[in-house]
Amino acid sequence: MFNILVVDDSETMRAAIRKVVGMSGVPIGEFLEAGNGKEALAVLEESWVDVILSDINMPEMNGIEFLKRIKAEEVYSNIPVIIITTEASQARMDEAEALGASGYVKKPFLPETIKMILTDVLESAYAQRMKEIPAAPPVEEADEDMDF
Amino acid sequence: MDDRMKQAVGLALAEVFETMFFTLLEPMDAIPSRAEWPAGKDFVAAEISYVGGGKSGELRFYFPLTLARSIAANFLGEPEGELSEGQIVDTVRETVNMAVGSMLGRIDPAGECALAIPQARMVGDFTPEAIIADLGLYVFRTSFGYLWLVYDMVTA
Repeated sequence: MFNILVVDDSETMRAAIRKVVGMSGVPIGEFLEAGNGKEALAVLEESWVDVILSDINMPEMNGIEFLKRIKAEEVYSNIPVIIITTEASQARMDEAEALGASGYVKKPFLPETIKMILTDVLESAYAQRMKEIPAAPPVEEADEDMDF
Repeated sequence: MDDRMKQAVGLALAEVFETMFFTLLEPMDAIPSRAEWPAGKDFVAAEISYVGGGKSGELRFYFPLTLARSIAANFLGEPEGELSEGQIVDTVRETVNMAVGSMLGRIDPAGECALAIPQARMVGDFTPEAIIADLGLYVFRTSFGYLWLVYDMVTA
């Protein structure tokens, strides 16, 4: 199960994303929400999050500043961040990618686009996590002649 | 409004309406006659601006409440009768954000323009008479009434 944090100043957009994610088939644990980057940082302090979907154009702390902040914190830096935004210029997408965003979805979006990118990002994050777990020592085969 | 801008706004709005709300939007070549104006004065007004790269602009939208309610219902998958005023206004605010963000993606590929935070509110006494003389007036027809847009654009 994956915990998902959606950061968007529009409550209706968060509700719409919740619906799309719910229909995506991705196993969801908790669906967490924040109205801007500042609120999202507070959520991260309290809850385990597997993936973040964040808007850019938000009051208080925008998505680019939020991305910079979490990539600078060792404890959060491995959480994949997917940017979902209206700001669709190539320059903005390149900036988000350079800051460590794992994906970029342009609003308006089709539900299939969210599903595809979320699945891809979670699969790569899961594979990466598996690689990082140290391999267990080989289990020695039991000696057949061993007497108990 | 010049033709390139007109086309960019029209395409961006149509994309948002069709993709997110399953609603067709038809740009009007001419302002509809007074006889075709809506009888009701309940609208949701929204404003958004952008600035940067020697360009700036402000766009004011006037959504008939019937249209605003319909797109909010489509967006949230809720029956129209169960929507709150806040959900309707927020859907319009997000619509304007998406449309103008998408428009900037077309006219500002270098990403020099920054979009301001959009604002939206209910208005109970709007009539198109108030904006009919605006040079940047643009009108779209939908199944739920006309969507009115005033685009004040400044290019340095």
